[in-house]
This record gives sequence, structure tokens and C-alpha cells, in this order.
Amino acid sequence: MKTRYDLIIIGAGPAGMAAAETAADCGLSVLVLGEDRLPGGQVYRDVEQAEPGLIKLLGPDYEEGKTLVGRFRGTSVDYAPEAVVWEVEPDLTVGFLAQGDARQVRGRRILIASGARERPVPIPGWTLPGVMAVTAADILLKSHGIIPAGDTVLAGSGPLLLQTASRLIDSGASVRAVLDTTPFSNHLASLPYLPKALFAADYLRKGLAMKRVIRRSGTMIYRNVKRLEALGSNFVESVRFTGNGTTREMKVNTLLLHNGVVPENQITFLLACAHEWYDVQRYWRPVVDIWGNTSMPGIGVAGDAAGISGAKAAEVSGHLAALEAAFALRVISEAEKDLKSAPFKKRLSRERSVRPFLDRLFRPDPDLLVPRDDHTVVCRCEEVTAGQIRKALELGTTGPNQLKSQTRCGMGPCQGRMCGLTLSEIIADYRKVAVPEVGYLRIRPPIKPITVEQLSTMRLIG
Amino acid sequence: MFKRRYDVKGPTVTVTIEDKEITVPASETVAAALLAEGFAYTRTTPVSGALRTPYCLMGTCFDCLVEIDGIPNQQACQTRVRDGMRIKIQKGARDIES
Amino acid sequence: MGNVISTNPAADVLVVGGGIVGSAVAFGMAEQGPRVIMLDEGDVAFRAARGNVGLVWYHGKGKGMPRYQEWCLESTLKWTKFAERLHEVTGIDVSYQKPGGLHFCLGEAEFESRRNLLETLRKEAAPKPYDFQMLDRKTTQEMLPRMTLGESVVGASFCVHEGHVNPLFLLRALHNGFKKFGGFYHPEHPVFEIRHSGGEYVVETPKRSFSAKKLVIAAGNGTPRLAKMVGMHIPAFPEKGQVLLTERVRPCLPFPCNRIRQTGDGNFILGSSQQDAGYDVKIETEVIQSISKHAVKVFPLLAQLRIARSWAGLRVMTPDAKPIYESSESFPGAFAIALHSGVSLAAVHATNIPRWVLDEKRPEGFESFSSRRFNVQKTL
Repeated sequence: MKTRYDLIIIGAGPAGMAAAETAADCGLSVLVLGEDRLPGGQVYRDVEQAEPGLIKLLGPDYEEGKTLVGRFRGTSVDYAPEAVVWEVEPDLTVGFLAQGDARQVRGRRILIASGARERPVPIPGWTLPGVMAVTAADILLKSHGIIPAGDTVLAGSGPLLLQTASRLIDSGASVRAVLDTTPFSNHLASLPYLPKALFAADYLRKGLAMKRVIRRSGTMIYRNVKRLEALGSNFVESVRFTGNGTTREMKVNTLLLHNGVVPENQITFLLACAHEWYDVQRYWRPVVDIWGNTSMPGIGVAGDAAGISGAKAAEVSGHLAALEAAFALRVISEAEKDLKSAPFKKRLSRERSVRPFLDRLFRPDPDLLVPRDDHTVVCRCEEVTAGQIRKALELGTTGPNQLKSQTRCGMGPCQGRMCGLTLSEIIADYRKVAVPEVGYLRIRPPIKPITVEQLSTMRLIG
Repeated sequence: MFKRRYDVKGPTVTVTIEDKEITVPASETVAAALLAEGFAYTRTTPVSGALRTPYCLMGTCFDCLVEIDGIPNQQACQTRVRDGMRIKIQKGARDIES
Repeated sequence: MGNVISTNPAADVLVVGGGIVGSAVAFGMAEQGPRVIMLDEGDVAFRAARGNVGLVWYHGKGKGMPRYQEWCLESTLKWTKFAERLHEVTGIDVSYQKPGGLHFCLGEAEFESRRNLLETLRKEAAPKPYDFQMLDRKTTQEMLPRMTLGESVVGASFCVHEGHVNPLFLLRALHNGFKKFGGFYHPEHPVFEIRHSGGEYVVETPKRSFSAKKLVIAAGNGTPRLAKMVGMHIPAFPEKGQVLLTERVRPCLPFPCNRIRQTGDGNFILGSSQQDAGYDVKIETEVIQSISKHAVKVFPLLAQLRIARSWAGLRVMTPDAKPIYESSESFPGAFAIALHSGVSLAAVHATNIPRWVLDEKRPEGFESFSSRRFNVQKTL
């Protein structure tokens, strides 16, 4: 590994891998920093080592990743797996940890392809042992062939909810119920956005197939679910909810929560890139053009980190961002960039066409964004409750950074990844203003932990 | 409450979890091993001593902190098991080790 | 109790600035009875109050200005009662502890230079006492059984009066107490103009204007601009400082030290740095690396700790690093304060300064703190 590259790509998911491929094709020197052991990101996690049985179970959407990873492996880029980025600076220096050492590299361009993370689902009891994110179950299945034993319930909203439920059922888990919190009103509100493309029909067909798998196994699906609560003292024992009109309580060993995914934007906030609030899906995304350029020179974003658009769109945006990098570094001409990007632009448009519909169909229920019960933990790290935050608001604090100082919400190791969005929502709800007016936590390095030893012995790039 | 879909085959390692020797697949992360082996909790929080298990398994939530080979507060989901590894539940805030 | 938005924008005293300095003065004044309105900026502001490490410190400060070290000592000695008063009024425990403090010296030269500084201060303080001891390495190590000293630590200066506090709790308690005493706090009201009209000071914010017979400008680095409008030249400027915070650790460092302290929650705070960087509050890797290196030199055991976060703050610095307390000659009743030891001085800010503003009883020897000491030509 060198210390300087034309392009440093942070993330080895579909966007990062595609960008690496195109950037290498254009002749750029590329370094890809992936956090995981194998390339693939979350959607194609460990696809390289997946057994045929697993690939069959997870379906063609997962299998496609194999080709992409294969092509990535065939490029000439430098690839550092298990590299954890802790700092990115405006002068395009990247600080990361690899094999226990802190290192610095510098690019002439940086591409952030850090993907997505789960939206926090702050329901009462969500910190109990036995309550996990839906993607956690997905990871256990994909990487380790581990599934929930005992009674499992999935709760929340979004495409991944049904997908994971059907995968778990197919893998032999006992899924007792799927509690869908998608508000009924979303169905009507999303209809005008249903694209006429064949593509959407394909998507809907997949959804119906999943529902069939779920129903056939005897799993109950409850709709328009409200007032979700995880109950238990030292671990989750039951889940209580209101669905189809009645309040029920169901015994459970594992409760999996999901309320959509949001951009993993810790780095773009760290760099103070301009962000906009995407109200339909209630998350912040960096302001980018079609090439992924942010407001900061030399910094681009591709894939879900720029806005949730799915794996295929991520791949295409990675190609476009790489072409932009090659053009910006004057390795290709504008004419060549236009020529090469044309098919990608077309594909991107197609891959994104279902998004307005999906985003509105799965618009998060406001009740899951602002915990009404004062005892609900908002900041898992520092155990700050919704009630404590509202109390500080009553005392006159107005913004997330002041609230962080006052309550410690956001001060833990996760640095707001699990509580930042909820914090802004609670403040906006209390002050009766829109979230953009409230703002977000200020993010500072290190964005992943680094020891005093590692920092003090790091060789500075100079 | 988790289980492995299949009997453990392929390369394995022997680790010690809370002083108990256990053989697990070599490709598992510490978090996966702890869940598959049925540990009811993997840490107690420094603020209130509440019991926690991993939540996200992708390095985001920091709930999976455990002590590995004497070094506290390591993310179990980001660490692969290794032969001879000693894993312990993280109990509250760490100590400073001389 | 939230922000009671005063329908009446007229006050006895207006305080511009809701940081450690402004809120301490406002707290002390509101306690006396007058109607006080405190104006503050919004959530994203420079706020030195949120960026400091919480030392209540005295020894080593004020060389060349005996009045300053006397002022520091007075505040340090008043701090315990001040913390108790805050708790009594607000129920908030600001976690003030006064175990004494250590200032480590790496290498013989540093030790000698520290000793000389403190001896000079002792002479300047005379005939009043100046409490400090120079401790050799062995004695220092005996005070710190859990924290092995680095090889280059030859000793430390120790002063019994030193302590530390949670600065965020302090700020919250001051605001809380201010409101309990009937004060009106308006955040999101940055001041852009001050003028004198009809015997009153009129202060303009984008939302509305306020008026008062008296005015205290304690707006951090915003003070020079505003003070100029009422006849005062305050040569304060921002000085950047960066700080690291580690993960929580079970208690093992019982004394605050000049650049390292362990908070009540168990995190280690590692400082400090001084950069002339204008209003830039970006973290610089070279600087935090140098902070890490220093920490490890003092306590090698700190190397194993994870850095949880960093932050940068802008101190309010003056040309001689000593406070400016100014009362306007051309605009009587207008005061300005600019300094960087707001936490240490909070106790006297809550007691002595209100007397100055309200009763016109200027603390003795306060001419030393006037900005006229910089031989500034008044062009107003």
C-alpha cells in the first residue's frame, strides 16, 4: 500500500466496487478501504464464501453480487479489508486503522461509498437483550448460518422487513408474526408515484412472493401496527402492540426491529458537507449532483450514503462517480466522460424510478420517530431517555448540540448513529418546527475509536 | 436465543468464554459465537449496569462491547474468533490496566 | 420552567452573552432582585463555555499582575460555597471537587522554570501567602498509586486550592438559578447593534429590541464588536484549543492536573493546545497527536484508552492573557468582560461583579483589569 492515490474509495459495497472497477479502467491509482473481511458491503455480505444452498435461499438479488465481487477482485486496485476509517480531512487525508495500526493516506479525490445503516427504532424496551435490528439477523444468516431459535417476531416497516422474514422462514426459523407498522394512509399516498415501468411490476411481484412464503408458514401478519413495546426485565419476554384494532401481547424470544435504512453519513457530516433533509423518508443526505459531487472539493459520494436507492442504483452511481473522478483529474476528457456515462445515466434513472413510490409507501410512522413514553431510551450508549431530553427542552435548550451537552445524549461511542435522528425529531416535535430548522449533532473525529497509543504513534503523512 | 443451522463443520478454533472452553467455527465473529452459544447478555452498561446483547452486528451500535484477551471494550461483531482467545463479559466501565 | 419570554423588553440590566461569564454575572445580579434579561445565540455558536475542560485553577496564573492572582485566589477560595449555593437554589450538583491539583514537569529544565515562575508569583503576592509546593518525582508518584508516571516526569507543583467541576453542569445550574431568581433568558437572540437613547441602552436583535439602564457585554469573542458601540475598546481575540476525551474508566486519577483530568463520569480529558486559527474550529490531526503524545509521557497507562471524541473551542484571549473588565467612560452603566478563565472565576463573577454593576462598587484595584492597560488610543 502506498500513501498517495488518485482516488481513495471508502466502502467495498456495490458502489465502492463498481467505482473501483471504472476508476481502474480509466487508469487511476485506487485504494479501496473496506471495513469488513470480504468485499460486498451489507447487501452482498460474504457472497464470495456463500455456499450454494445459502445463495439459493437468499435469491438472485444476492447472487448477482458474486459477479460484481468477481469483477472487483479482477481489478488492479489496492484493497484493504478490515480497514476502519476514523478521520477524513478536507485536504483529502484519510486516517484509518488496519491491523491495529493507525495510518494516513491521501487522495486527489475521495469517494465515500459507506452505504446505509438502520434507522433507530426507539420503542420501549428496545435495549433489552433479545431485541435486535433486522439487518443483524440478516448478517447472522449470511455470514454465519446462525438463525434465531425459539419464537421470533419481526416488527416495523420497509422492504427489508418482509424480505428478512421470508428468508428466516426459509432457513428454518420459527417466525410467529410480522408486525407491519406501515400506516394504512401510506398506501393511498404512494399510489400516484407508482411508475408504469415493467421494473415496478417486477418489484411488486417479489413482494407478493415474500408474503406468500410468510403466510404459507402460518406466520401472522398484522397491519397498521401501533404502540409497539418490548416487555421483559432482563431480556425480552413478550412484544405488545395494537394491530387490526386490538391490543395483543405475544411471547417472544427474539424481536427484530426495522424502520427503513438511512444513509451512513457520518463522514459527510464530519467534513461539514452541505446536507439536505429528505422529509419523505426522514433522513439527512448530502447535497450531491448526478456525479456524486458534494459541496466540498474533491469529495464525492456514491450509493446509499448519498440517499437510499438500493444496490443496483448504488452500483451505477459508483461507475458515474469514478468517471467524474477521472474527468476531474484530467485523465479522461469531458467528451469521453459523456460518452461512457450515457448508458449508466440511463440505467440509474431506471433503477431509481421505483424510489418515489417505495419511499412513500414505506414512509415511517411518526409515532416511531418520536417516542411518546418518557421512559423510552433514546441514547443507548448513555441511557438517556426521551423524558430526560424533553425535560432539558422544557428548561429552554433549543438545539441538538446544546442538548448533547446537557443530557449526554450523543456522547457515547456510537456518536449519534443510534440516537442522532431521534434527537432531532424529538426537538422538532417539541418546538413545533421542521427538522431542518433544528439541525443535527456536530460530528468530530475520531468517527470510530482509536487508542491514545495508536494516535500518538501514527506516522503523519505530512 | 440463536442456533446454528447446521452442525459445526469445517475449520474450528477453541476459545474461552467466561472461563469456559468452547469450540466454534473459525469464521465466526465473537458476537456471532456469543449469540450461538446462548449467552443471555454480553455486557453490563457503565451508566446503570443494564444488561445488553449486540443490536446491529455491523459496528454501528457499540452495544456488543466485550473484553477480549484482557483488553476491554472491543466490538465483538468486528472481531473474528482466534484459537486461544479469552472472551469475557464487559462489566460496566473498564479499568486501567497496569 | 421554560424560557419565559418577557413580554416587557425593558430591564434593569441587560446581559449580552449566555456563556459561563454572562450567566454567572446574570445569576448573581438576578439574585439581588433587579430585573435581568440575558440574551444568547442559538445552538450553533462558538460557545467557549462548552469547550473547556472544567479546571478551577489558581496557581501559576497572573505573573506580572498581582491583582489577577489575588482575584484568582479569591474566586478559588469562594468556589465551595458557590457550588453549595448553586445546589441549594437549583438542586443541581455541579460535581465540584477540590482535592488539590498537580502541574507536571517533564525534565529538569521544565521543573526549574516552573519553580521560578511560582517563586516570582510568591514574591508578587507578598505579604499575602502564595500556597504551592514543588514535589519531587517520588512524592508525586506516592500521591498517584494507580497511575504510573512516565520516565521524563521529574516532579510537579502542587497546590491545595485546585479543583475541578463539570462545566456543562455549571452552565446549566447558572441558567437554572438565573431563571429561579426571576431572570429572563432569550436564546436565539444574537445582538447586532447597541445604542444609547433616551437615557437607556437599546439592544437590537433580529427578532426584537430590548432596553435597560445598565448593560453587561460578556459575549465571548463577540465582545469587541459590541463593546465598541458603547465606547470601549476590548482587544480580545480567539485562541483555539483542542481537547480529547477518552472512554469511561473506573476512577483512578484523584487529582486534576494541568493538562489531564478524569471527570466524574470516568472519561479522561486530555488537553491542551493553543493555536492562532481565527474562528476555525476544525480538529487538526497533528495537534491531537501531540496532545496524545504528551498524555502518554505523563501517564503511559493512558496509551491503552480509546479516544471517544475530540472537540475544539475558542478561548477568549487578550494580549497579556489576563482578564479585561471594563466600564465605559463615555457610556456610564455599560460594562464589558473578556477573559478565558470563566470557570475558575465564576464564583467572583457571581458575587463581586454584580456589586460593581448594580451598586457601582468597583472592586478594589480593578483599574489593573481595564483595557486601557494596553495603551489603546480611544478613537471614539
